[in-house]
Amino acid sequence: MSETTLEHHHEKTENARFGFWVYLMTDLIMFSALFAAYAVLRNNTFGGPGGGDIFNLPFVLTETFILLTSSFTCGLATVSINQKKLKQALWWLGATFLLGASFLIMELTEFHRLIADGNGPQRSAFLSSYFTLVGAHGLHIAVGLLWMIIAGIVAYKRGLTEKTASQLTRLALFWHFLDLVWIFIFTIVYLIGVL
Amino acid sequence: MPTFKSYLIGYIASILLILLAYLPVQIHLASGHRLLSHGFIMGAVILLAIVQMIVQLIFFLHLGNKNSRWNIVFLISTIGIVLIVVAGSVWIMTSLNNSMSSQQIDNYMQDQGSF
Repeated sequence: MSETTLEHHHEKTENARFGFWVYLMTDLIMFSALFAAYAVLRNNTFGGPGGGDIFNLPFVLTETFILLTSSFTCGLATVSINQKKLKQALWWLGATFLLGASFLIMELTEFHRLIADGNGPQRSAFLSSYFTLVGAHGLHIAVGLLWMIIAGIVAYKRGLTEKTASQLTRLALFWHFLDLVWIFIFTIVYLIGVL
Repeated sequence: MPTFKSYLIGYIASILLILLAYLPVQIHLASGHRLLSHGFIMGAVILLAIVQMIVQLIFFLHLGNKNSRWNIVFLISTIGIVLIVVAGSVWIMTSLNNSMSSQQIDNYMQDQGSF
Protein backbone atom coordinates (compact mmCIF):
# COMPACT_ATOMS: atom_id res chain seq x y z
CA MET A 1 0.00 0.00 0.00
CA SER A 2 1.38 3.40 -0.92
CA GLU A 3 2.04 6.11 1.63
CA THR A 4 -0.87 8.31 0.52
CA THR A 5 -3.49 5.53 0.66
CA LEU A 6 -2.28 4.60 4.13
CA GLU A 7 -2.65 8.19 5.24
CA HIS A 8 -6.04 8.36 3.61
CA HIS A 9 -7.19 5.25 5.49
CA HIS A 10 -5.83 6.60 8.73
CA GLU A 11 -7.71 9.85 8.24
CA LYS A 12 -10.91 7.94 7.52
CA THR A 13 -10.53 5.97 10.76
CA GLU A 14 -9.90 9.17 12.70
CA ASN A 15 -12.97 10.84 11.17
CA ALA A 16 -15.16 7.84 11.96
CA ARG A 17 -13.84 7.86 15.52
CA PHE A 18 -14.67 11.52 15.96
CA GLY A 19 -18.13 11.07 14.42
CA PHE A 20 -18.80 8.24 16.83
CA TRP A 21 -17.62 10.41 19.71
CA VAL A 22 -20.20 13.03 18.69
CA TYR A 23 -22.88 10.33 18.87
CA LEU A 24 -21.69 9.31 22.35
CA MET A 25 -21.98 12.91 23.52
CA THR A 26 -25.60 13.16 22.31
CA ASP A 27 -26.26 9.89 24.12
CA LEU A 28 -24.80 11.50 27.23
CA ILE A 29 -27.34 14.33 26.90
CA MET A 30 -30.13 11.75 26.77
CA PHE A 31 -28.79 10.11 29.93
CA SER A 32 -28.58 13.52 31.61
CA ALA A 33 -32.34 14.01 31.07
CA LEU A 34 -32.99 10.63 32.72
CA PHE A 35 -30.63 11.49 35.60
CA ALA A 36 -32.46 14.82 36.06
CA ALA A 37 -35.85 13.06 36.16
CA TYR A 38 -34.51 10.59 38.73
CA ALA A 39 -32.96 13.34 40.89
CA VAL A 40 -36.26 15.24 40.95
CA LEU A 41 -38.50 12.23 41.61
CA ARG A 42 -36.33 10.13 43.92
CA ASN A 43 -38.19 11.13 47.12
CA ASN A 44 -41.68 10.71 45.64
CA THR A 45 -42.21 7.17 46.87
CA PHE A 46 -46.03 7.47 47.22
CA GLY A 47 -46.03 5.37 50.41
CA GLY A 48 -43.95 2.69 48.68
CA PRO A 49 -40.37 1.66 49.42
CA GLY A 50 -37.43 4.08 49.11
CA GLY A 51 -33.96 3.31 47.82
CA GLY A 52 -32.71 2.15 51.23
CA ASP A 53 -35.47 -0.47 51.44
CA ILE A 54 -34.92 -2.17 48.09
CA PHE A 55 -31.27 -1.72 47.04
CA ASN A 56 -28.83 -4.53 47.82
CA LEU A 57 -25.45 -2.76 47.91
CA PRO A 58 -23.08 -5.79 47.87
CA PHE A 59 -25.00 -7.13 44.85
CA VAL A 60 -24.66 -3.81 43.00
CA LEU A 61 -20.97 -3.59 43.96
CA THR A 62 -20.44 -7.00 42.33
CA GLU A 63 -22.23 -5.78 39.19
CA THR A 64 -19.99 -2.70 39.15
CA PHE A 65 -16.80 -4.79 39.40
CA ILE A 66 -17.99 -7.12 36.62
CA LEU A 67 -18.68 -4.20 34.28
CA LEU A 68 -15.39 -2.50 35.17
CA THR A 69 -13.50 -5.74 34.50
CA SER A 70 -15.27 -6.08 31.14
CA SER A 71 -14.15 -2.53 30.30
CA PHE A 72 -10.59 -3.60 31.16
CA THR A 73 -10.69 -6.78 29.00
CA CYS A 74 -12.18 -4.67 26.18
CA GLY A 75 -9.13 -2.40 26.48
CA LEU A 76 -6.85 -5.46 26.25
CA ALA A 77 -8.67 -6.41 23.02
CA THR A 78 -7.76 -2.95 21.68
CA VAL A 79 -4.11 -3.50 22.63
CA SER A 80 -4.12 -6.86 20.78
CA ILE A 81 -5.64 -5.24 17.70
CA ASN A 82 -2.92 -2.59 17.66
CA GLN A 83 -0.34 -5.40 17.85
CA LYS A 84 -2.12 -7.08 14.88
CA LYS A 85 -2.93 -10.16 16.97
CA LEU A 86 -6.44 -10.97 15.81
CA LYS A 87 -6.85 -14.28 17.61
CA GLN A 88 -5.82 -12.79 20.94
CA ALA A 89 -8.15 -9.82 20.33
CA LEU A 90 -11.08 -12.15 19.72
CA TRP A 91 -10.37 -14.03 22.97
CA TRP A 92 -10.41 -10.77 24.93
CA LEU A 93 -13.59 -9.73 23.11
CA GLY A 94 -15.16 -13.07 24.09
CA ALA A 95 -14.21 -12.47 27.75
CA THR A 96 -15.73 -8.97 27.51
CA PHE A 97 -18.92 -10.47 26.09
CA LEU A 98 -19.24 -13.03 28.90
CA LEU A 99 -18.67 -10.39 31.58
CA GLY A 100 -21.12 -8.00 29.91
CA ALA A 101 -23.73 -10.76 29.65
CA SER A 102 -23.26 -11.61 33.36
CA PHE A 103 -23.80 -7.96 34.22
CA LEU A 104 -27.00 -7.85 32.18
CA ILE A 105 -28.31 -11.07 33.74
CA MET A 106 -27.65 -9.68 37.23
CA GLU A 107 -29.47 -6.48 36.35
CA LEU A 108 -32.46 -8.40 34.97
CA THR A 109 -32.48 -10.58 38.12
CA GLU A 110 -32.69 -7.44 40.22
CA PHE A 111 -35.54 -6.05 38.08
CA HIS A 112 -37.37 -9.35 38.30
CA ARG A 113 -37.06 -9.45 42.09
CA LEU A 114 -38.39 -5.88 42.39
CA ILE A 115 -41.34 -6.52 40.10
CA ALA A 116 -42.16 -9.84 41.83
CA ASP A 117 -42.29 -7.98 45.18
CA GLY A 118 -44.81 -5.53 43.74
CA ASN A 119 -42.19 -2.78 43.37
CA GLY A 120 -42.40 -2.43 39.59
CA PRO A 121 -42.23 0.86 37.67
CA GLN A 122 -45.94 1.56 38.26
CA ARG A 123 -45.50 1.55 42.08
CA SER A 124 -44.27 5.15 42.44
CA ALA A 125 -42.64 8.05 40.60
CA PHE A 126 -39.34 7.09 42.23
CA LEU A 127 -39.51 3.55 40.84
CA SER A 128 -40.65 4.74 37.38
CA SER A 129 -37.64 7.02 37.08
CA TYR A 130 -35.35 4.33 38.52
CA PHE A 131 -36.46 1.69 36.01
CA THR A 132 -36.22 4.17 33.12
CA LEU A 133 -32.67 5.29 33.96
CA VAL A 134 -31.21 1.87 34.83
CA GLY A 135 -33.23 0.18 32.08
CA ALA A 136 -31.93 2.63 29.44
CA HIS A 137 -28.38 1.75 30.46
CA GLY A 138 -29.20 -1.98 30.35
CA LEU A 139 -30.63 -1.58 26.87
CA HIS A 140 -27.37 0.04 25.74
CA ILE A 141 -25.47 -2.91 27.23
CA ALA A 142 -27.70 -5.34 25.30
CA VAL A 143 -27.04 -3.43 22.05
CA GLY A 144 -23.30 -3.47 22.84
CA LEU A 145 -23.38 -7.26 23.32
CA LEU A 146 -25.17 -7.73 19.99
CA TRP A 147 -22.62 -5.46 18.29
CA MET A 148 -19.81 -7.51 19.88
CA ILE A 149 -21.16 -10.71 18.32
CA ILE A 150 -21.49 -9.11 14.88
CA ALA A 151 -18.14 -7.29 14.94
CA GLY A 152 -16.43 -10.43 16.26
CA ILE A 153 -17.81 -12.62 13.45
CA VAL A 154 -16.97 -10.03 10.78
CA ALA A 155 -13.39 -9.65 12.06
CA TYR A 156 -12.99 -13.43 12.25
CA LYS A 157 -14.19 -13.91 8.65
CA ARG A 158 -12.44 -10.97 6.97
CA GLY A 159 -9.32 -10.83 9.11
CA LEU A 160 -7.79 -7.72 10.58
CA THR A 161 -8.21 -5.04 7.91
CA GLU A 162 -8.26 -1.27 8.35
CA LYS A 163 -12.06 -1.44 8.26
CA THR A 164 -12.62 -4.22 10.81
CA ALA A 165 -10.02 -2.74 13.17
CA SER A 166 -11.71 0.66 12.96
CA GLN A 167 -15.07 -0.95 13.73
CA LEU A 168 -13.66 -2.72 16.81
CA THR A 169 -12.13 0.55 18.03
CA ARG A 170 -15.54 2.23 17.95
CA LEU A 171 -17.08 -0.72 19.77
CA ALA A 172 -14.43 -0.38 22.49
CA LEU A 173 -15.22 3.35 22.75
CA PHE A 174 -18.92 2.54 23.19
CA TRP A 175 -18.18 -0.06 25.87
CA HIS A 176 -15.89 2.21 27.91
CA PHE A 177 -18.53 4.95 27.66
CA LEU A 178 -21.19 2.63 29.12
CA ASP A 179 -18.89 1.75 32.00
CA LEU A 180 -18.46 5.46 32.69
CA VAL A 181 -22.22 6.07 32.72
CA TRP A 182 -22.63 3.13 35.11
CA ILE A 183 -20.20 4.73 37.59
CA PHE A 184 -22.62 7.65 37.86
CA ILE A 185 -25.64 5.34 38.20
CA PHE A 186 -23.78 3.43 40.93
CA THR A 187 -22.95 6.66 42.76
CA ILE A 188 -26.12 8.70 42.34
CA VAL A 189 -28.79 5.99 42.32
CA TYR A 190 -27.36 3.34 44.62
CA LEU A 191 -24.79 4.88 46.98
CA ILE A 192 -26.73 8.11 47.58
CA GLY A 193 -30.05 6.23 47.35
CA VAL A 194 -29.40 4.13 50.47
CA LEU A 195 -28.28 7.05 52.67
CA MET B 1 -0.99 4.49 21.42
CA PRO B 2 -2.92 2.68 24.18
CA THR B 3 -0.81 0.12 26.04
CA PHE B 4 -1.45 -2.74 28.45
CA LYS B 5 0.11 -0.67 31.19
CA SER B 6 -2.27 2.28 30.76
CA TYR B 7 -5.32 0.00 30.93
CA LEU B 8 -3.93 -1.74 34.02
CA ILE B 9 -3.35 1.59 35.78
CA GLY B 10 -6.88 2.72 34.92
CA TYR B 11 -8.35 -0.58 36.11
CA ILE B 12 -6.58 -0.63 39.48
CA ALA B 13 -7.28 3.07 40.11
CA SER B 14 -10.98 2.53 39.31
CA ILE B 15 -11.24 -0.42 41.73
CA LEU B 16 -9.67 1.65 44.50
CA LEU B 17 -11.95 4.63 43.81
CA ILE B 18 -15.07 2.43 43.84
CA LEU B 19 -14.08 0.87 47.19
CA LEU B 20 -13.19 4.31 48.58
CA ALA B 21 -16.75 5.47 47.80
CA TYR B 22 -18.45 2.23 48.85
CA LEU B 23 -16.88 1.64 52.27
CA PRO B 24 -17.91 4.94 53.98
CA VAL B 25 -21.51 4.34 52.89
CA GLN B 26 -21.48 0.82 54.39
CA ILE B 27 -19.84 2.10 57.59
CA HIS B 28 -22.49 4.81 57.80
CA LEU B 29 -25.29 2.25 57.43
CA ALA B 30 -23.68 -0.22 59.86
CA SER B 31 -23.40 2.51 62.53
CA GLY B 32 -27.15 3.14 62.26
CA HIS B 33 -26.72 6.43 60.34
CA ARG B 34 -24.64 7.90 63.18
CA LEU B 35 -21.09 7.87 61.81
CA LEU B 36 -20.37 10.59 59.20
CA SER B 37 -23.09 13.02 58.09
CA HIS B 38 -25.31 12.61 55.02
CA GLY B 39 -24.07 15.79 53.40
CA PHE B 40 -20.42 14.81 53.85
CA ILE B 41 -20.89 11.35 52.31
CA MET B 42 -22.96 12.74 49.42
CA GLY B 43 -20.29 15.30 48.58
CA ALA B 44 -17.49 12.76 48.95
CA VAL B 45 -19.02 10.06 46.71
CA ILE B 46 -19.87 12.59 43.97
CA LEU B 47 -16.31 13.94 44.11
CA LEU B 48 -14.93 10.38 43.87
CA ALA B 49 -17.18 9.67 40.85
CA ILE B 50 -15.80 12.78 39.12
CA VAL B 51 -12.21 11.71 39.87
CA GLN B 52 -13.04 8.26 38.50
CA MET B 53 -14.53 9.84 35.37
CA ILE B 54 -11.26 11.71 34.76
CA VAL B 55 -9.21 8.53 35.37
CA GLN B 56 -11.31 6.52 32.90
CA LEU B 57 -11.33 9.32 30.31
CA ILE B 58 -7.54 9.37 30.35
CA PHE B 59 -6.69 5.65 30.70
CA PHE B 60 -9.65 3.97 28.96
CA LEU B 61 -10.86 6.57 26.43
CA HIS B 62 -7.36 8.06 25.81
CA LEU B 63 -8.38 11.70 25.91
CA GLY B 64 -4.82 12.58 26.85
CA ASN B 65 -3.69 12.03 23.21
CA LYS B 66 -2.57 15.03 21.26
CA ASN B 67 -5.03 14.40 18.39
CA SER B 68 -8.06 14.22 20.65
CA ARG B 69 -8.30 17.97 21.26
CA TRP B 70 -11.67 18.30 19.50
CA ASN B 71 -13.03 15.32 21.40
CA ILE B 72 -12.23 17.18 24.61
CA VAL B 73 -13.83 20.41 23.34
CA PHE B 74 -16.98 18.50 22.46
CA LEU B 75 -16.96 16.68 25.81
CA ILE B 76 -16.63 19.90 27.81
CA SER B 77 -19.49 21.59 25.96
CA THR B 78 -21.63 18.48 26.52
CA ILE B 79 -20.82 18.46 30.23
CA GLY B 80 -22.01 22.09 30.26
CA ILE B 81 -25.38 21.02 28.83
CA VAL B 82 -25.57 18.08 31.27
CA LEU B 83 -24.96 20.39 34.25
CA ILE B 84 -27.61 22.87 33.07
CA VAL B 85 -30.18 20.09 32.56
CA VAL B 86 -29.52 18.26 35.84
CA ALA B 87 -28.78 21.15 38.22
CA GLY B 88 -31.46 23.34 36.58
CA SER B 89 -34.17 20.69 36.97
CA VAL B 90 -33.28 19.97 40.58
CA TRP B 91 -33.09 23.68 41.42
CA ILE B 92 -36.45 24.57 39.85
CA MET B 93 -38.29 21.59 41.31
CA THR B 94 -36.95 21.97 44.86
CA SER B 95 -37.71 25.73 44.93
CA LEU B 96 -41.19 24.97 43.65
CA ASN B 97 -41.59 22.35 46.33
CA ASN B 98 -40.30 24.68 49.07
CA SER B 99 -42.39 27.71 48.12
CA MET B 100 -45.70 25.83 48.02
CA SER B 101 -47.25 24.38 51.18
CA SER B 102 -48.73 20.90 50.97
CA GLN B 103 -52.19 22.52 51.39
CA GLN B 104 -51.53 24.72 48.35
CA ILE B 105 -50.40 21.68 46.35
CA ASP B 106 -53.56 19.76 47.34
CA ASN B 107 -55.77 22.71 46.39
CA TYR B 108 -53.96 23.13 43.10
CA MET B 109 -54.32 19.44 42.23
CA GLN B 110 -58.03 19.53 43.15
CA ASP B 111 -58.50 22.54 40.85
CA GLN B 112 -56.80 20.60 38.07
CA GLY B 113 -59.10 17.63 38.72
CA SER B 114 -56.31 15.25 39.70
CA PHE B 115 -58.28 13.91 42.68
